[in-house]
Order: sequence, then C-alpha cells, then structure tokens
Amino acid sequence: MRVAISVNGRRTEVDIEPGESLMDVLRRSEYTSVKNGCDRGDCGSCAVLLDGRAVNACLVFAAKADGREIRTIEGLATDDLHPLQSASLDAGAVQCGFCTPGMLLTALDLLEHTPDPTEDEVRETLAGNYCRCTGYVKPIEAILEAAARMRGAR
Amino acid sequence: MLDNIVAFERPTNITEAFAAIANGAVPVSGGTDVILHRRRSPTTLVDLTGLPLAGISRVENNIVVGATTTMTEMLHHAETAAVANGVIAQMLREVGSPLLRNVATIGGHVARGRLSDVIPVLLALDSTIQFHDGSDKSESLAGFYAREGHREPLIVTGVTIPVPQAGSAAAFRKFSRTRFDLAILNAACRVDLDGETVSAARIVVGETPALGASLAACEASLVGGPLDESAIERCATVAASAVPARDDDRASAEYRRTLGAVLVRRCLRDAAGRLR
Repeated sequence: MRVAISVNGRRTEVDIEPGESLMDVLRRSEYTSVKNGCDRGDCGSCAVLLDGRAVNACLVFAAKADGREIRTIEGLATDDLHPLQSASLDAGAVQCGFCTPGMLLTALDLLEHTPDPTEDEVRETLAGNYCRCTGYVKPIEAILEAAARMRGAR
Repeated sequence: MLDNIVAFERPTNITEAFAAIANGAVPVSGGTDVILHRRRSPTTLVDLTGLPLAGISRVENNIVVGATTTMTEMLHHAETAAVANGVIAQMLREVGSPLLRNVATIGGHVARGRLSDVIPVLLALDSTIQFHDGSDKSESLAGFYAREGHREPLIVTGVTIPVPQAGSAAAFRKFSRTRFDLAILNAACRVDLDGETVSAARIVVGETPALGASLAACEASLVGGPLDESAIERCATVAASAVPARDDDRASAEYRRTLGAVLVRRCLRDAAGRLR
C-alpha cells in the first residue's frame, strides 16, 4: 500500500507493507536518526514527532501515518543548531549519542506544550527514553537550559 | 515488521468496521499493543481511529471519554484531570511514558483488558463501558470484565466515568520498580461518606497478576462505620487474605498479598486525608 507522509516539511509518497512500523519506513527512507534500539517500545530511541507529539515510531503502524506530519532530528536545526542541540553540547549531554535524537524530540514535545517545565516534569517526560551511558543528569540540565533559551530568558 | 498482515483498512463508519471485525479482522486503535504481537495466520487490521470516537465531554455528572482519545488527551483534559482529587491524572502520569501515552488510547486499553493501572481506577469510580457489537450497548465495566466481554468481537466506543460528589474521595497506588515498569501490584479505592459513616466503598486491587477486581470483603469491612485508622487497618488485614494473588515473573503470591495490605492501607489513608 502507498501512504503520503510529510517528513520535516517535505511531502513524500512511500510504498509500505500493511504490517510495517513507521520506524522501519523512516529508516529505509534514510532518516537513520530514528534508531532501532529495541523495536518494542521500551527504549525511546526511535522517538519522532507525529503531528507534534513524541511517539515511539516502532509502535506506530506506518499505515496510520498517512496524511500526517512527521518530524525527525534531521529537521531540527535550521541555519543554527536548535537550542536543544546547542544546550546539549554545552552541557555535555551527549555521550555515545544513540539515545540523543529520541531524547531531544521527546523533550521538544514537552517544551512546545510546557515552555517552563520543572525538573520533575523533565524527569517524568524522559521515563520512556533510555540512556545506557547512564547519562540522565546532563540531558536534564540541557533540557532545562534549552527551555530557558527558547523562552528568551538567556 | 509484522508479517502475516495482509491488509490495513481504515473505515470511517462503525458498521463497516464492525463487519470486518466480525469477519475475523483485528481492531487497531493506537496500535501500541497490536504491533507487538505476531499473528499466526494471515490477518487484516482495521484501524478504528478514523471513526468519530475521539474526544471528551461532560454529560451531567459524568465524564464521557471517546474510545480513540489518547491517554495524553485524558491527562491534559482539565475536567477529567480534576475528577476525585485528581486521581485519574495522578494515575496516568504513572502509566508508561509520554511516548506511549501520546499514542495509546483508552478504548484500546480497556479492550485489551490486561496489564493495567488504568482499569483499577475506572473500576473504583464505577465506570461504564460503551461498545458496538452490531448494536450500541453500555454496561458496567466490572460486569463487562466479569463476563469476559473483552474477548468477544466488538468495538469499544467509549468509557463513562461518574464524577464522585462531595463526601467522596478516591486514591490510587502503584508499586513498581520504576514508573515506566508494569506494576507488581496496584490498588485503587473510592470511599463515599454519609456524615462520618462510610455509605459505600470500592477497593480494587490489580496486577495480582490478574486484571484488577474489587474486593467485596474489604468493602464490606468499611461500610457502616467511620473511616478511621482502626477501620483502615482492619480493611488492610482483610485485603492481605482477599487479594487473589498468584506467582509470576514479577513477584510471588506471598509478596503480592503483603503488598496488597500495604497498598490498600495507603490508598485508604490518602482517601481519608482528602475527606478531612
């Protein structure tokens, strides 16, 4: 079957299998920032924004993405890095980097709906994003710093 | 990728959707559970999210939640979040993660009828379920699970949650390694007071590891007396023996019985605190 999706603002039509996940379709469409960590919704490294909400792309049937807007980390930076990206670099929040795309997109969903989150809200938001470098402290600092930058507070 | 999926249909009316399901197709709402299970034989999937089943409305003293409403939409719906001192919102924050709650729907969740923190709270609030099995029906959620209605071919269309009135309080407790993990045991309660006297109570314990069910002996131990510390302790003691606990890879039955007393005690103390 064929679906029409928009990825990072670019409309595309893609042939899919009816049992295929959005993660598999995005990866073979060369959006390889969408990581296949577990393929069962545990790790969050395949997170993308689907109509503005962060989802595990491995748990979404690609057929359901027809006509919808998808954002991946490839579309996050414009001429400059996005504040989530620059704050992550500044805070040393990236270690091996495998979880980073999913974590930043999950954080982007939070910050687009809650511009001034508490640290607890950031922690709760990352409940489904695993970092096996055990580096949660720096990402949390980075997200709070990015929130401040996005609000224009600094 | 799930092999054995031969078609993914997206009907826009319920008659068409139910005809496919009656014919053996598997309904998909958010799909977070369906996509994890390989099918043994060629299967057609029927997406329910094209049906007009989304959204939450207040109808008299009820919150009516359409089946394809996501957990996130419930969590951010102010009237739903405010029900019974915020028990629904508190519970939803402890279910999975935003990544799951942004996709998983209430209808898909109650239709699955297992591994649930949500259902004990819905049961404690005496919720009803609406579904379509050729015609539109409504029944108590407790009755629906007691007769294993979720195993029948049907389309859940919604859940109706009565809003407890003044003099009622509810509470939820989950015991798990992290919030993201499945509960080792959970408990939900609702207590209605008439003056100082308990006029009705619901004590639901779930992940025993069976789906949550109310414990009649616990409820009976509370009704007719005050909700004081000795009543709470008595009810917790009853819970320890009334919890239908079994062993599984999350915990032993003995551990679950001990937890049952602890979580029922904590729920009732929460509720008593809210009623003060």
